Amino acid sequence: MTIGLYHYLGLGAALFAIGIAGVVTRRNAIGLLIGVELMLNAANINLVGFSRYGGGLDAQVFALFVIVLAAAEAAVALAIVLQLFDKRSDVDVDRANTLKG
Amino acid sequence: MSAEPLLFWLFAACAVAGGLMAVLLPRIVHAVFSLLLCFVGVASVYAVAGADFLAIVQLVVYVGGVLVLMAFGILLTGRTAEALGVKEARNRKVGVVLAVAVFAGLWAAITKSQGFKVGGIAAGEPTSEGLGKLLLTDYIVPFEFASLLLLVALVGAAYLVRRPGR
Repeated sequence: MTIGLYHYLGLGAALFAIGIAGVVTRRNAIGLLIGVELMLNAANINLVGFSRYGGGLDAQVFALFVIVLAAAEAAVALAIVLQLFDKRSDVDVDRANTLKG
Repeated sequence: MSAEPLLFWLFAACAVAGGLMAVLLPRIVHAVFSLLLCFVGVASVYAVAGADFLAIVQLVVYVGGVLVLMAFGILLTGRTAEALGVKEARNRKVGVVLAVAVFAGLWAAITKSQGFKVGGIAAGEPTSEGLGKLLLTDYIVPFEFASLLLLVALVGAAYLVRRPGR
């Protein structure tokens, strides 16, 4: 059985669904970040699959930009998590429900 | 070529198993280490697909950067079991239903879209030269904006975590 484009798309869909489940079910803010990273990786797998099966290298350039964005997002999100912990002494996203600082 | 399906399934299984454990394991430290398995699996899938440069970037940025950041984040926040979020997950049913629905929707869309021209570049050619040329010619403006974005994001992150008065 040869591997085709649809295998890559299926793997991407599976990882995306897992990531969305993580975002919805985690209490810990870092757990949410894990879910978001899984979803970004799913998008990258799709891009690499398209690149492999006819898309050329442009798709890989897009994947590179996605990785850059993910790194920047992780840094800012962790800074926000640390500030949240500083203010509230926990990182439970359900309890961070006040808008007043 | 004959080893490609076996390797793809192996590494795809690694990625999915790591992702599942990263979402399901109750302790956040275990989840981060499962995410390591997932990221290595994804990088290996890139390598199987012939995207050698992306595979290395995935390892360097995600495993060397993002995961270490997350580990530091856990070190700096998780003092008590409650703060670590060891308690039962919230919205468990909603999460399962949403994940199944999203996967079913994506799968339906994928199987309906038969119009992709499946050509296939030769896996095994190095991609770094072509990527470098594309980044510095066609994609030079997004490339520069990405560097600016990284600078702004890192300065912003450093500003966010400062403590006033220290």
